Amino acid sequence: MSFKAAEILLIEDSPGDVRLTQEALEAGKVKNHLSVVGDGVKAMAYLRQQGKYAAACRPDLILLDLNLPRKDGREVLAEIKADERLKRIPVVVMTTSDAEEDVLKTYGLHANCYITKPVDFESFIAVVKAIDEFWFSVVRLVAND
Amino acid sequence: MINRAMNILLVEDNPADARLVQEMLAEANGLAPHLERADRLSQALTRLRQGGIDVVLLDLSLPDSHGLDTLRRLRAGAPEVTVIGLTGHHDESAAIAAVEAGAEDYLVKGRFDREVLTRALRYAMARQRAEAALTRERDLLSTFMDNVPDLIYFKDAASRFLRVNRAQAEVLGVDPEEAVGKTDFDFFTPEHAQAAYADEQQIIRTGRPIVGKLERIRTASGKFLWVSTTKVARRDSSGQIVGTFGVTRDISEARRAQGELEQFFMLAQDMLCIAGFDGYVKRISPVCEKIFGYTPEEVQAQPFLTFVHPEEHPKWLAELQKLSAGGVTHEFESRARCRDGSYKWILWNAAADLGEGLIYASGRDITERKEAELASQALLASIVQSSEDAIIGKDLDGRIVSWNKGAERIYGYTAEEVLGKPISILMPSGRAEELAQIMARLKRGEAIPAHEADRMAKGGKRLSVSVSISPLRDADGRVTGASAIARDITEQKRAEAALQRNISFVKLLQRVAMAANQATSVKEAIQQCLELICAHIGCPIGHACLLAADPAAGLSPTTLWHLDPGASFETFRRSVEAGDSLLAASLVASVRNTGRPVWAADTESDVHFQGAVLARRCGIRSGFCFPVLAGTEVVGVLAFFSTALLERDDACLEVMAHVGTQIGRVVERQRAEDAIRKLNEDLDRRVRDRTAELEAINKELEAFTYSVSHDLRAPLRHIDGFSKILMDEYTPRLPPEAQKYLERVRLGAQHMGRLVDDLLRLARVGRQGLALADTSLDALVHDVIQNLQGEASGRQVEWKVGCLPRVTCDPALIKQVFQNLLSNALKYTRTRPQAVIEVNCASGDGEDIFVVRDNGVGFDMKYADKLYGVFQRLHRSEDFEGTGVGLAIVQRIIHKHGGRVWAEAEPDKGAAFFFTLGPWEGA
Repeated sequence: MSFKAAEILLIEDSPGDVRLTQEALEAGKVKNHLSVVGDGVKAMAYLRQQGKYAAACRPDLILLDLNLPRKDGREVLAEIKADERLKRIPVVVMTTSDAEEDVLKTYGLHANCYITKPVDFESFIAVVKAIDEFWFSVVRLVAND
Repeated sequence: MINRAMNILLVEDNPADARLVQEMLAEANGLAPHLERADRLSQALTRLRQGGIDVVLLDLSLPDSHGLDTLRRLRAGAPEVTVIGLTGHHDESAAIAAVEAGAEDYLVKGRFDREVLTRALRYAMARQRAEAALTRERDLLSTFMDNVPDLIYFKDAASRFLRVNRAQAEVLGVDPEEAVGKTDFDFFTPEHAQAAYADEQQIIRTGRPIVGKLERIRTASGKFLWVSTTKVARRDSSGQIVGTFGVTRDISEARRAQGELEQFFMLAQDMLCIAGFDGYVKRISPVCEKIFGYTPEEVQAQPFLTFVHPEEHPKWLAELQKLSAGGVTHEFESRARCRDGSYKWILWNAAADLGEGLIYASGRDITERKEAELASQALLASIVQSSEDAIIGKDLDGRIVSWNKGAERIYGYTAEEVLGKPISILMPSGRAEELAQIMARLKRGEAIPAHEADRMAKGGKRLSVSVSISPLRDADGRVTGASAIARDITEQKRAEAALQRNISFVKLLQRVAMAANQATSVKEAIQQCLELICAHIGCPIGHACLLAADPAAGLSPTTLWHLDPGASFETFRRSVEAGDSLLAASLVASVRNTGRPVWAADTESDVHFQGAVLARRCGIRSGFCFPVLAGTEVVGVLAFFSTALLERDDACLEVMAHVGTQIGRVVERQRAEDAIRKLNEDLDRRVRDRTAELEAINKELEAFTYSVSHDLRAPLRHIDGFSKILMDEYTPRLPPEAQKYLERVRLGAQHMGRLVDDLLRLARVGRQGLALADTSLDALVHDVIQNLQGEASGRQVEWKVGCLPRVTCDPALIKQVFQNLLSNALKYTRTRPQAVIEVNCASGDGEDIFVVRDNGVGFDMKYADKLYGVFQRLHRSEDFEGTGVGLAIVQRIIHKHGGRVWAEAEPDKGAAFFFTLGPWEGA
């Protein structure tokens, strides 16, 4: 089986986390193409292919950090789920916070998955790999049937 | 009569004969007849029934009747009228027959002329009248004879009854007719009949009557009668004695009465006495001998006054005087001397026959009764004298006539001082009306039952007495005076009044206490007290002054009043409230300065009334006021005013002082309540402030937690992540020493990450609420053990899980508890070749106690208090890794459930952690 590289949009403001996520994804089995935007405004522009993102690809999976400058992750999630064209894109909410409020609000906005970024890098790789495999092996196969 | 027109009815069917008679009568002199005619007998009878006809000229031969029958029928129809028969025959026998049949006369037609007819008419009329008169006389005699009660008879010369009246016949036992021809021998005993016969023959011989002879006869019915008989000679028209006439009167009743009277006189136990105004007894019944020892003859031999007690002679003379004037002696008591010289009491009743000059008297020996009476009178007198009660006699003019020791003691006057004085000296002045009424009632004979009255003792001292007054009567029943019995009840009344007063004060205090207890405010309590006291004392005005809100301003008038209706009271109220009343201000000042009640009893002399012109103008004449005391502080004054002169009353003031204290307690209570309310308000405010503060802190803490979780974890993650990348990607260029340090950096970052996570978890347990659910602890514990299998891998671990109940708890949190405890147990048994970890539940003291026990390294109990402190660790992290937060989380969760947690351990001997869950456990 040969797959087209999975298109992933990482919405993350922390360069360190971007780097670590890239590392983790590279350690994974699935071929992917990662695009990164640093805040919520840019993220929505990207998804709606506006401005400089007019040529942007529609992502297969969105990794969303909740704590973003300008427009935060909750708003972004809400807009995605309210947008007929975007709402079907799976969104994995990644955050350093496992505060209860975040959890509840996020689920209320229909995030597809929620994970807390662990401090331990091996754990982080394991988490990213698990997402990676779940969404691109299991889900897409089902979608392609 | 002769001159009157004679009404003649001619009964004649022959017109020619009728005409002839008519003509004859027309010529008759002095007769002036009025003639009517009938030609039938029936017609004649009809006319006769109408009356007015004196004579009938009757033709015996008529068309409807014939002969003598005609005459008989007419007689039957008209018995009174005079009839003269007319006939055609000259027949002597017919004429006689006609007269016998009832005709007065008889005329033959054709043989009489005017003269004969006129005479016949006249004679017939005269005869008829004479007969009528005779009949009347006979009837009168018969009526008299038959109705007179006396026995009357007529006898012939041979003493044979010619006629007897009905009364005589009854005695004889026959009808009056049957007696005729019989003699006394036929009816009476031979002795009586012979005596009567002799008497009658003597009368016939001598012509002298026997008058009123007393005889005893036996009647036909067997009754004996006493009779009085009078017999006289009966003579014919020539004066020759032809028999006797007798009248006999029954005198049995009179004789019996006479006999009884005599018996009565002889046998009566009372003395019966007939005396003359000459002073001698004419006759006295023999019982006098039994009473006096004198025979009647001895009594009659001397003037009766000889026997009368000398002291009583005047009384006797007065009584005789009265009798001689036609009076009656009624129950006249007098002493009479006996033969032995002693005296006996005799009760006399007498009346006089002034015509005879005699006194008829009866006397009864009442000596015994009289002596008893005198003895009891003496006793009574001694009782009256020694009585504690005043017993006072007075006459109808209201003058005192008797006065006993009791009266002397009660009223203070001696008998000598008051006898003859008017009873009014015992009455307070102005009671003339009362006295007059009493006297009027007594004069009417009314008794005045016991009643309370005011009286005055010597020296003007006022007394209350209970007095009853009865009229006194003389022997004739006339009211002559009155006796009053009086008891001094002054003390009793005073004690009663004092008692009533005390009771009323107690009641007032009770009501005041109740009002004070139930009042929700001082003003309400005061208002009620004003009403109660005004009603009690009878004051029209009650008012309260109270400390103003600012105590420095002192007492000021309130708007709390009791005010009877009245314009002047309204004026007074306005002046007090405006602070213009000198009286009120002065009284209040007095009370405030002394702390004692004040009484302003007298408008004229009381200092508080000085200058109080307005109050006086408003009609206020007295007043009193008392303090409302909170402890010793005068916090108010209650003032009462009256239009009457209220006398100073210390008992009342004492009660008022109590009232003041009661109200003072209400003031104190309200003050305390105010203080508590203020405290509460302060507290509330402080709690609110504190809560707000805490909420702010909580928010800060949350923000802190959030930033810790977010901001601290990110750098740690970067430290760890990039250290890893550094180690992976630059391994060849890094000396082994550097690689080891990087490893250290990573371990540090990871440990700090766990610390941060645990802290966040601890904070979250504190914040979130309990989501209680029915939970199977058994399943929950097995779940936890399952999760720990990874950590336990490669070790010898024996899990001993007992029977665990279902409980109500927050399953996620309790799972955390077991997670931490079992994880600890697993960790601290690591050094043991065989780890034994036990989970169990024991019931004790009504609650379930859960235990997690291990055979690990244990700890020293002296550090037990540090077990639950955050970051507190009893072991070196080199020996046992850990953050020191796990047990703190356990404790927080258990406490949140309302349970307790504790531990038992010994170094190297293992540890046991116990906990209970809250009161809802098992619910």
